[in-house]
Amino acid sequence: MKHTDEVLAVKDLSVWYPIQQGLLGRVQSHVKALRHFDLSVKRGEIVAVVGESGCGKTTLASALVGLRTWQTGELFLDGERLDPNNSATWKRLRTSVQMVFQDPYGSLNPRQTLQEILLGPLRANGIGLVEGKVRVLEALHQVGLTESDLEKFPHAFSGGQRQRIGIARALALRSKVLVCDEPTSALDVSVQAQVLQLLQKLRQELGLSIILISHDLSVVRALADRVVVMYLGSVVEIIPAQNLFAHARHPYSQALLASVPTLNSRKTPQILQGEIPSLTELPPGCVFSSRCPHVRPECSLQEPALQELSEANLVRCPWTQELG
Amino acid sequence: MSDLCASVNPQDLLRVENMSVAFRGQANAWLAVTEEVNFSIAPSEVFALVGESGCGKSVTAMGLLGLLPRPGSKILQGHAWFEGVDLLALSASELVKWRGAKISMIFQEPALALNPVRTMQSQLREALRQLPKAEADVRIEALMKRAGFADVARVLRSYPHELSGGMMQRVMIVMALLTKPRLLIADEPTTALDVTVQAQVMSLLQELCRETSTGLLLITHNLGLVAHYADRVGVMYAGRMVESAPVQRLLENPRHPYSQGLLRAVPEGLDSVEKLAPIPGSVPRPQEFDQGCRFRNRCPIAKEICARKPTLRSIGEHHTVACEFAT
Repeated sequence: MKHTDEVLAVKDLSVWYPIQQGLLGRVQSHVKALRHFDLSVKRGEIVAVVGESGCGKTTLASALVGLRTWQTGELFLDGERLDPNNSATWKRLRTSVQMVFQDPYGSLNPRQTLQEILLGPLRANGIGLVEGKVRVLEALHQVGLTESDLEKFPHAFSGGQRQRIGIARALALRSKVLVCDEPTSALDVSVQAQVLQLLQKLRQELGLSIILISHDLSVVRALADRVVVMYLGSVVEIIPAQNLFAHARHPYSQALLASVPTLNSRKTPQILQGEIPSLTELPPGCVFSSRCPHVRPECSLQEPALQELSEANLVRCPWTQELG
Repeated sequence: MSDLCASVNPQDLLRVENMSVAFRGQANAWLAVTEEVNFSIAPSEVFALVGESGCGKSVTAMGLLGLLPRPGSKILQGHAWFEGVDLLALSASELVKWRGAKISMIFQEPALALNPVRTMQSQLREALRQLPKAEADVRIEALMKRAGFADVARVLRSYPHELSGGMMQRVMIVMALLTKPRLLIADEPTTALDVTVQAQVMSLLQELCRETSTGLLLITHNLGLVAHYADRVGVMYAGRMVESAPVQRLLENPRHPYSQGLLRAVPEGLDSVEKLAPIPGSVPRPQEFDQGCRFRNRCPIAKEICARKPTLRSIGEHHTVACEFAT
């Protein structure tokens, strides 16, 4: 059965933010940050989620760890269906699914020592001090820090080391899935490479699954197995990472790839015309139609469904065959 | 030194010589954060200053315009020749005449650089306050159209929160170029923007600077941007310029071990992170700076001689390197 190796899956996830107006703060309308989103990750798999700011990447990350209310959606952990609107579910999930935040400076308490930072989540999840200390040391070694660092405060660590601490904090809980929200975008290139290799090593050695949220397509290409391209709160394409640059089919994926300035190619970055529409006033039909270079009148009639082009490549555009 | 002078062109728009900046550190001691930085920019030329955070790129740019906090910082030494005047020797009140009029700057975060309680129009007019309002508005409108705004009137009526990041940064570019400056300093102009918007902002910058022969000092950590939009590039590391060359030459044939390491650490075009070569260790802090080569603790080819102060020497046309072993 396919389901056995699926660690975490969400189906039909929608997250809406209410817009309150007026004296009484009545809810006037909603920002539909995520619409009918499906995602699954297998054991040892790295799934990347890419897209522009405002496409719902970070909302997705926080919804996956229970920091957002689910408007709709089903949640599966190891094939078992859980209720996403029950706080006990998230309490249980907290040891299995952990988040690594973007900003390694803002996500560590400056007044706690490394030991306190790492022990905190363990104690909150009912793990005793003795067992906790064993796990802390284990996690430290996994990320390449040493026991002598335990008494230091965050300011004594560099950006790259702090991001390792963020990862160790999740590992100490023996998490199965890491949700990494832009884990290297606050780091310099030379340090970024160290953290990327660490994530790769952990996936291989511990069978860790990673949901990697990133805007850097080169990072995604090098690290991920599968890539989910998002636009305005929904998936427009799912594609194996190795095919991303050569064979992305959706016009938005292609525009995104063409806009990146690269070192090795002399191709001038292409400009994607138009502004990203507001999430409160989505265009009718295909949400990308307002900026799509291949738009046709039919596009604004109804939102296309995700179609399977090949086994691993799903695209939300009915014209890709003709576009070539 | 004679090697360096050979690459100095009398037609230079800006020529920075031996510029060092210090910050007041603990116990009130002055701590040099950049040391003997040299570079030059010709009219219409795009010169990129690259390096990792803390290498001194922004400090150098802010120092040129007298925008560093005082007291708390000072220019230790050096000159910055611009139209026959040494910018570093000017007093704050004299510098005001140059800043904005002949030298403009664009900052990283357009949302922080714009005044949140004033409309775009009132902020743009301020750049041209010496002109009659009607005349200023004509120039503003013309440049806004060039910047690709479809509905100029609406944007001009808007407050910053009503615009997207890319739109705000395009307004910033318009604002900086309204006075037809000779030199534009852009400090990480697209770092806060999406990659789709980045292409738009960069090509606008390039186009407008070319049209008016404005020199552009582009400060960035993004080597992809440098490859596409710069003519020459200077690589900084821990407060010093370690290599300077025409862009193609540096990308194809970097000579300093740090430049080589930086290019190998970019995950571009790789199908696996295992092929990346991260630079071990991390950048030293200003407190740890010494005379010797500051990269030697992370350098794969360092020898004892590297504890001596490296000198920038010429190894080819417009190509200078501060490494004993570079040829």
